[in-house]
Amino acid sequence: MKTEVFILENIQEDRKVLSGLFPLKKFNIKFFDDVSDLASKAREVLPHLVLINLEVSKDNIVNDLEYIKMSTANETVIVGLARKEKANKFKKLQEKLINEIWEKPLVGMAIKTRVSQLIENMKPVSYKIQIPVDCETFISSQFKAMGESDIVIKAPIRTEAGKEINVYGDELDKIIGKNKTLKLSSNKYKLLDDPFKLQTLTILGLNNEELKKIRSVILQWEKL
Amino acid sequence: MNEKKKVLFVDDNPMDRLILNKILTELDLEYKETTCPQDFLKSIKEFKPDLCLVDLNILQANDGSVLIKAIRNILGENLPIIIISAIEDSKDILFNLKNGANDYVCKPIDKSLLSSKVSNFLSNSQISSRILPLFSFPGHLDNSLEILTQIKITSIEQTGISFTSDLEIQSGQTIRIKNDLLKDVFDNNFLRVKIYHHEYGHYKADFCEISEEDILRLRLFISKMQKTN
Repeated sequence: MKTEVFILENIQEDRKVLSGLFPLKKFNIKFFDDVSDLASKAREVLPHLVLINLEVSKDNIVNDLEYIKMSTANETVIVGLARKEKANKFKKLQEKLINEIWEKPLVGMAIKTRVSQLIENMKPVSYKIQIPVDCETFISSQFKAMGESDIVIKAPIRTEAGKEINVYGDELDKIIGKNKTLKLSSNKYKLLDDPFKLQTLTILGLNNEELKKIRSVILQWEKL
Repeated sequence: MNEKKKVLFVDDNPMDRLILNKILTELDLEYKETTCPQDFLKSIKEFKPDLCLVDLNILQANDGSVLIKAIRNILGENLPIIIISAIEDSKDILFNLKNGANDYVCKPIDKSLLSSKVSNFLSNSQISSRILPLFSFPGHLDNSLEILTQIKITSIEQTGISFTSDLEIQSGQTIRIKNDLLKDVFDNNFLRVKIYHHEYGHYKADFCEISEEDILRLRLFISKMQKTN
């Protein structure tokens, strides 16, 4: 995915300089003359980086920047552009509304290095959920072996012995029936060489008829 | 001539003792019956059994568990112990399997089932390294299983999620998550994510097979969430 760069700049000469800083191979650059247009497009595309000529504002630069903030993600980097002699006037904006100010003219290696650093340090857009959301999750595993009241599975999980685990599989369901409780019993067999992958589960709640059924099935299999 | 294998059992119920006597006689085993933990422990050193059968609820509720622990303390790990339990004792069964028992049967005692378990233990010459017989799942059958677990999603990023889980899941694994949270972004009922980092129950995972359009939709969704909360 290319880095989306939105630029609010009405000076043609500076647009050319800025185009040179963001090669088309890596960046999608869009120029705007008006804050409303930029904000409107930002709600569709969500730019990674916004450059704004702080001297271009017709009304109030603070309002314009707040509008842009509202239309972009928290991680969107907003850089103010201003002539060297005017830059100081905008320093106070750096606290809340812009990440940094670049002084014009934007020439030399320093600005190129700064662009590279900025891109490297960009954070992915993220949202921390205030109350974590429960989600059902399925982890693939394999049926490896079975004893009279235990199964051995190969699974990329590890947990303490005694933990209840829900395991489903067509063949397993045929043998032990559905909705049986399985509990990890890691110390029962000592032949398992990789405790992270092979887990022994004891099937609980089986009556003698069910245990006999399991026996009749597994006796047709080969001994491990 | 081979010596007979020896079984020591404890059960306070006369009827169950009678059944056990019958089964062990038919199996041509030397056995000794006891009716309380004290007698059982007295007998164990003299009789030197090859296998013990322990009723979980002898006299008092916890006597069987205490007895299993005592056997392990006195004789170590090598002597196989089969629990005989009422079916509703599933919690106790698990507790005692963790505590040192090797297998269980439920009451009412099924003759053929107990016979097979006793025979399996006594015929295995390498009891200490491989206590119970296991049978390989046949190669021609579908061996796929799925473990169902709950995770808690704690954050969403433009390329993945962070979550917590009680189960320790290996890094590099792809897991399938029911898509309740991101229905506005992805049409699929399930999302596949690949875990690339985990530490103390906290995981980071990337979405699998995610297109640039998906990323854009996700970025816009996240941005919206940031503004509304």
